[in-house]
Amino acid sequence: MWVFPALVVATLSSWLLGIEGGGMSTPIGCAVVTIALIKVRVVGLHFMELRNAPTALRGAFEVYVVVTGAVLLALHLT
Amino acid sequence: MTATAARTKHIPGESGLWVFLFGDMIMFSVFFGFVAVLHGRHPAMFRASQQALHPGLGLLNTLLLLTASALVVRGLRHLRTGRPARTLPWALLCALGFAAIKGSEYALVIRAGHTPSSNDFFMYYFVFTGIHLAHLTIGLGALTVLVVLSRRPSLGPGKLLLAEGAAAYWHMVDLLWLLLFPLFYLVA
Amino acid sequence: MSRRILVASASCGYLFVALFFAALVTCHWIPPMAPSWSAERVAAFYTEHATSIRAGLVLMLAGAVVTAPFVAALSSLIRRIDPRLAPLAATQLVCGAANVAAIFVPVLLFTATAYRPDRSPDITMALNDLAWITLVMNAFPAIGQAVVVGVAILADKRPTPLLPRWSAYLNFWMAFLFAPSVLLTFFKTGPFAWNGILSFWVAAGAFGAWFLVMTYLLVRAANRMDDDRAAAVLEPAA
Repeated sequence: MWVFPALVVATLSSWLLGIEGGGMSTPIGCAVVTIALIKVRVVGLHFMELRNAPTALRGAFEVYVVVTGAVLLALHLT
Repeated sequence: MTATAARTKHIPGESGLWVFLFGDMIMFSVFFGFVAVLHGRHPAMFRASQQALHPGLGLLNTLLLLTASALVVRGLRHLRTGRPARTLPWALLCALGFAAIKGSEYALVIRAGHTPSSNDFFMYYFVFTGIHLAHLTIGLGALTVLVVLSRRPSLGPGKLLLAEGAAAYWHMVDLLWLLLFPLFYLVA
Repeated sequence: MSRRILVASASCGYLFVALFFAALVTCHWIPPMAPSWSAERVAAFYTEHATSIRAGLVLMLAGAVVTAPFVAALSSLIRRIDPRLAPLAATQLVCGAANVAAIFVPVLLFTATAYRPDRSPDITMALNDLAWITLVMNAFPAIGQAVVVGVAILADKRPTPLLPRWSAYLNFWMAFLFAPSVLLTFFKTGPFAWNGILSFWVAAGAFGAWFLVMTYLLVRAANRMDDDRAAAVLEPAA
């Protein structure tokens, strides 16, 4: 089961990025948001079992992740 | 789960529940949008206010929720195969830990003189994490349902659907925090 | 229960949404006034739109009353799901009645505000605050209603429930969407102010959508039920 360790590693790395970033540039902010979105997708597909769900349900989730991600990243870049 | 079972399509929990789960998630996306807009408009105020939060506690809480989720995944797998699901009470403990730590962080922030009416950052911080905490409190109920179900010798299809739904709700609580945490604590 | 009466009562839900929306437009409240406005601006707004506000308020008053048959139909259906759900049906009716008042009372406050727009602006502003807060910050009866209806739907043990199970979860979600408006007491700007995205737009949108969906489902369920009027007519003869 790689999912849980991967989520922990992602959490720690984005924490280090955020804390070390200090002055904080846009690329680091975007990286932190992107890592969070990947974690959200992993939780949805593996923990919530949407990986095995009918296409419509899984598709709705994928659209959710993409739209939320696009909006957040767009807001952070502008 | 066998390879063939994994390939058959299956909706976790009863299908109607997903109306609520997706509805909630969309609402939270609107919350995330508000935080990002505020951050874009007032970066200096956002960064200064952020200093009053405790990222270490936030990190600890993230790890607690992820651990609880992993324990629920394992517990649900055991429930399905009729094995004793001993991980579930530990998941409940992690969730209680999250609530206790969140409460302590609120106390620390308030004692440092920051309240929801201090500025827009703290308004969003208290309201949005507060609404999340309310969801987590309902999640405690969902986890309790799972613990109670795990005490039964075996589960019929209806009870199994209930267990899946409770687990899916719990994972959503985890999922929402995974975005709240970086937006408030990490992205400066 | 007469099916025709039930369908007619339920359909009042559509009428309510139409009247309420028409009233908001007539009063120039889309978008709504803002709590951050100065007393002078508030007074000027009432002076400029006095007649249309007064007329819009009459529409809204009518709208408040037509929610009553809708709420009664919903409670009848809850009892039809299972007579043992009577306390849920009664709770729904009480919350629904509170909602009638929650529209009625602010409409009369608004009417008083618009009655003499040439008075001192400070007084107009105070009345305007009173009216808006009364109109928007009434989430709890609606939350109670949505939760109770959701529970009743889930309690339906029929193979095909009278109201579909997804609509129970929709009700729970609606309860969540109504909730943020109670925060308006703390804020004069931003998403939780009475004209805010979460307090006004989302909550009002959810309220309207709830009426439309529940009306549609109620009418559909009513058409599945037996009309027992025939039995009632036959009974004395027997």
